Amino acid sequence: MTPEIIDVSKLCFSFDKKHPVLSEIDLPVHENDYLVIMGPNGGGKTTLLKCMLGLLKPDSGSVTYRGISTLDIGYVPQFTTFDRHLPIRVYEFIETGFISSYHPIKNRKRVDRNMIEHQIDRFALNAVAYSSISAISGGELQRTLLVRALVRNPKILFLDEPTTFIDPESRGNLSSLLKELNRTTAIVMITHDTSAIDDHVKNIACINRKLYYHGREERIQDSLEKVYGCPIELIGHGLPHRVLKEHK
Amino acid sequence: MNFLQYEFVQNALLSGLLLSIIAGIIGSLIVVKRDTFLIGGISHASFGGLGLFYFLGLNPILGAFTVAFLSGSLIGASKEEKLHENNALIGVVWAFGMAVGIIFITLTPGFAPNLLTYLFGDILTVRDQEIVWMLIFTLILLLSVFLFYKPFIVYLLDPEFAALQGIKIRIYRLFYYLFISTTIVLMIRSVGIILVLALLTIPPLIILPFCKRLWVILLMSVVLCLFMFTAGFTIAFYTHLPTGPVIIVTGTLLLFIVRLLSCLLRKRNS
Repeated sequence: MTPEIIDVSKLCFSFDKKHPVLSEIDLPVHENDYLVIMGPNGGGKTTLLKCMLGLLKPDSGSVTYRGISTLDIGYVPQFTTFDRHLPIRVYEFIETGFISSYHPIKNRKRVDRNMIEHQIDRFALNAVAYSSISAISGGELQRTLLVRALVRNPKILFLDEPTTFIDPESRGNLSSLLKELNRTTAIVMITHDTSAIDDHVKNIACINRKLYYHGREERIQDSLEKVYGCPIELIGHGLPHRVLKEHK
Repeated sequence: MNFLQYEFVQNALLSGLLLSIIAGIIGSLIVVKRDTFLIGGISHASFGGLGLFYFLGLNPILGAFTVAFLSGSLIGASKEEKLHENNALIGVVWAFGMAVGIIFITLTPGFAPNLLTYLFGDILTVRDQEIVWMLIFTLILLLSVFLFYKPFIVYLLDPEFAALQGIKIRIYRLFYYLFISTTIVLMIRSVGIILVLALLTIPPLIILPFCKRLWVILLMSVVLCLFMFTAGFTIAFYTHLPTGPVIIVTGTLLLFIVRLLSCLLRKRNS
């Protein structure tokens, strides 16, 4: 078993202290893990992610980082969390990935341009590098966000609903990109899109207030139905089989 | 250009220059952050403080600053998501501030001051001391932009990502609103509470459709603001019309002409 880099233990969270959004969550993230956290809208996925990132403070329980710090985390947020209409070009947007090493006097310009250009190449963003972020397609914006998260070589990459606003072709590309990245980086992806679970995913957790954790080999059908509360159809790209269950 | 020899004209032009730098920078940030309504609320609410201080026999401009400062800090300390949900409440505070201001001024014994000076301003009445304040604030603002432009953009763009990168977003928000409050107060005497909003928003609105980068918008807004000031001021001087409103009308006409021209050009090219 690879060592744990993040350990979520007995985590509870509520916005109003009355209605728990997350209850007694235990969740390990391993080195080079590819963990997908799924569940219906409103099930607490994003809240859990924010707790794991330290953006929200849990009511009780803990999130422990082992051998990593917040700066080793790459974060690809949902499109809706940031202001797409702000006048900024793709290149400068990616540069903001280095902001943590900015200092107003001592260090004004340390940005690894080679790294940025390498990643722009790798993710085929050359054509739009000097376009405004409001003028590019959903797939391009997704890759821009990914590049911004990757320029500092994170040890773990968090993705929040990465498939929501992109077309099927970009989804396929994203899937193979993530597979490649997973060789060196742990990946934690949250999604309500069951088709995002493909062959490369190593562990799956289903969440709807409570969390059900599965290793990859396990059948996840039952617990998915438990959290969604209805029959669920799982279709994966490149999976050796499809699991389809008749609707009652 | 013989009118330049008058001291009040020199003061007016100097404060026009300083206010253009301030309004161009702060206004651009307000427009790209889409906080216009919020800032309208703060500036109009500050009239309440102005009236109260007038009633108490204190400096009315200081009253406006106190209310703008308090509401700015209060907003700076509250949650961003909540602010945009509370648009209607901002509308109430907006009207309440104006109402309270007028009630206090009416209650004050003796001659009522000319309300129009506070509401619409008069750049010809700006005093030396106020120019010194403007100069100090302009220098602080320029230094802050120079030092903190990059992290501030990240905060504007994506506060969550900024927080994750170790940027103290609460401090940035607090300073953003404090700078706005100060801007509003410095502009009351020259353009008035009602026209502050227009001077802040017109220049960036003119330039926004043509720019892909924020610093170009900041710079061009300062230039446009300066143009609005000088053109408006010159027209007002020769036509004997009030300066504040003439400056705003000049700016609005410019906005209209630029938008119309770019529309026509786009149609011709397509």
